[in-house]
Amino acid sequence: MDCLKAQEILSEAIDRTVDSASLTDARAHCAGCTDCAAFERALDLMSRAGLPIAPQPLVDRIVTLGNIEAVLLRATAAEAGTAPAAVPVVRLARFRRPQRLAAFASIAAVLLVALVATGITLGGLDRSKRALTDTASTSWNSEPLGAPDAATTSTEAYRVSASQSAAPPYVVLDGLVYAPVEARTAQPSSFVTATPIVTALDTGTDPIPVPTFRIAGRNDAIVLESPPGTYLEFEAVSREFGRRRFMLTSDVDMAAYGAWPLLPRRFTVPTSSDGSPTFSFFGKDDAGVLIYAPRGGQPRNGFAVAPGTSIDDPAAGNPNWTWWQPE
Amino acid sequence: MIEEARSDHDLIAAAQQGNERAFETLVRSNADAVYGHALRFFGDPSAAEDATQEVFVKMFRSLASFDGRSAFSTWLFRVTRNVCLDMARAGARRPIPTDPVDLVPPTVRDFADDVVLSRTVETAIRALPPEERDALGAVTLFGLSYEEAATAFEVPVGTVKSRVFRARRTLAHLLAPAEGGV
Repeated sequence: MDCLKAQEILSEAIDRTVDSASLTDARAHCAGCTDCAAFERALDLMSRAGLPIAPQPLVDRIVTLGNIEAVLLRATAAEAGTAPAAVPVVRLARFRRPQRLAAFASIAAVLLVALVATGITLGGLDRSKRALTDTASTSWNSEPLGAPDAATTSTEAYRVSASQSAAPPYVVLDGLVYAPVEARTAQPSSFVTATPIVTALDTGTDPIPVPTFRIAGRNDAIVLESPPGTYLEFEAVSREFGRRRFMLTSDVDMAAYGAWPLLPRRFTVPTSSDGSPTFSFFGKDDAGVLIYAPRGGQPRNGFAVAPGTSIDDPAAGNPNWTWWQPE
Repeated sequence: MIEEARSDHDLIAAAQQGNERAFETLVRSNADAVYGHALRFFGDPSAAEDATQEVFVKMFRSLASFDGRSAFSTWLFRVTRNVCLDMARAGARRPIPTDPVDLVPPTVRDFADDVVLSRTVETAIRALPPEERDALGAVTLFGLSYEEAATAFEVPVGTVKSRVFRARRTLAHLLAPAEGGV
């Protein structure tokens, strides 16, 4: 037996594809061949090395996503009255769409239990539910809401705006506020799964985790899948200052369309139109909107914008101070 | 092997009906293989995690169309390989190249520590040519037979055998200790 044949047999023996007689012959060859003996020892070394192990939090997160998919699969089958079918052709839809299927509301509790049980972070479900409760209207095109909600006070840890008009259909992911964009072609192959956003969108039902994706190569866009097979693209709300992009933030998740972003809770809401006592007037952004920096801070690290911006401003209509952080 | 096949078949049938336990079992029993392939592909744990999650999301959503004509492990390997390639092509994540020339030759002492040994072997595996690394991973991570791997790669069985063998020979060379022999 030559060296090449002997080593092939040793390799294939690991995969259990050689008979014992061939293996015996190969080992006999190795006993008298330094090179093949070294190869045999190297194979033994490789077999002792452990294989990569997936991190447990990752596995738990995927199991949670699986639970969500399983529930949606059952709900889809129940609604159709048939066995689950193949995934429909992916399409990107305009954000205006019919009411969400009622079945999803009924399964929300199951999903929430699964998410909480596995420790996945969804940004405070309790707060999200309060947002839905406290927001007077969740309709994108609804009429002005009228008087502020008396139940909302500045002392609440979680504050929901009482606005004079309905907010755009915002969602929040990782502290950034996103608004829907017109339908455009995005390749689902470029989607990267993100933590699901808990929202009721415009359904008026309880918020549920909605499958969420980022788009490869774009850090300012996300895609929500609702209902399954329908993809809603959102883009981060932003403005420019010094030719740099600054993103609208919210440290409160929005559980439904219609809520306005607020200043992060680390800032005291200014009591004066000049931003005091929290902010100082700094100057204007690239569109000429007045911006305010924290006292002692620099706007390059983020700045505030006062309510009352013009209709073409990204913060138009928001009755609250807003915070914009660098991209 | 037949028992395993039946088990996979039953699991998939249950998962296709929306059974959470079946989903969970499929994830937990295959996560290491998927993650291992992605880690070897990208050389970066963070990218490997993204890819692993993406693979399983695709798996969840494609289960309904899985017809069982190929083994589940073969199908999952294909999905894993394609997801990694797609992510790299899309520029979402880029594989960190590992040049065999840059590998620090291990010492005998390295092999006494299981953690160091595993890390050394994994680094060496990342330095393999992709087709050899993939063939080795298909067989050792996903447990594919040579025939199943040949189906997944759409190449003759002999090609798979040859790639796996060449991978092990290269590894043996890379893992030859710098001092004192093995």
